[in-house]
Amino acid sequence: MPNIVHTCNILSDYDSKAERGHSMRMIDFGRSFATREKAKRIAKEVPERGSLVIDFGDVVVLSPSFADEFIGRIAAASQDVTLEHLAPELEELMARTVERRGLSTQVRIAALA
Amino acid sequence: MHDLDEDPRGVRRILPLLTVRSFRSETDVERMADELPDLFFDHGLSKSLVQDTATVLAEAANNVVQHAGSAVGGFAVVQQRYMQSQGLRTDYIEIAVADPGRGIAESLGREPADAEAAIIDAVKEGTTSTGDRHRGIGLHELSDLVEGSPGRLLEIHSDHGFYQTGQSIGPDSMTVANRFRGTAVTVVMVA
Repeated sequence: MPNIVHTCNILSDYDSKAERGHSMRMIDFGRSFATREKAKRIAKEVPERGSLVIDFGDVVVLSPSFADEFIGRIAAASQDVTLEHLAPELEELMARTVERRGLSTQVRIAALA
Repeated sequence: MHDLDEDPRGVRRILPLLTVRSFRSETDVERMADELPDLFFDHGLSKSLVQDTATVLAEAANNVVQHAGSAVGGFAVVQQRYMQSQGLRTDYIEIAVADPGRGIAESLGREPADAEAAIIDAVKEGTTSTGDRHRGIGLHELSDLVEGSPGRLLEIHSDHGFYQTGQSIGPDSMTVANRFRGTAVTVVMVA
């Protein structure tokens, strides 16, 4: 489970502008995300300040339980969260999760270009 | 790369994808989910099918780990099957997750005699024994997943309770004579 060890490389200043917050690449933690336990582990690494951009590029699997736990914890840590590069089959799940949690104003899903 | 054997007689053939696994922890569930993408892509199956299969596998297995109280954990299998009739072939993915634990009724604090009603409640959004209002999405998600697309079926058997749902049959439940001591969840999806 080396992913957490690499967290320092994953969290970086977004666009070289500290005021815009941090970015995070999920693929550095794996292609599949299936459990609440994994959501808790990854969310612990997110700094509790500023805005956050999370890149889901190349992620293949997200379970509803992971998504629920992850979104809940990320939103508690960051006031402004953007989820980007979600595959179409994952975007619907994330949108449903954000809506169920009542976090639509705090968590945005960036449309694929 | 394996493939399902063509059979001119039109009988059903099976290709194991994820062979029977035992699991006890969320780490085990993550390992199973990690295996799915390559197994599916090697057989030309789509990303969306991987996601849907992983959703079924993960949510059913997470329920076992968190609620079943099973001393031996649970067991899961994913396989591809085809049915051929009058020259028309249809491929399916079958997912089964089972455990010999306390069953859905007991995990919700109900009597075993209430197994059928307990399953119906468990499929509703937000039903959970954890007290966390954000929990209890697992079986509800599975129900949504099969009812949202044609050619899919969800079956849940726990104690004497049996429940099934899909787009074509709608939710249906019954109390059955044969008792399954624990919980078995199976989903069939057109590939």
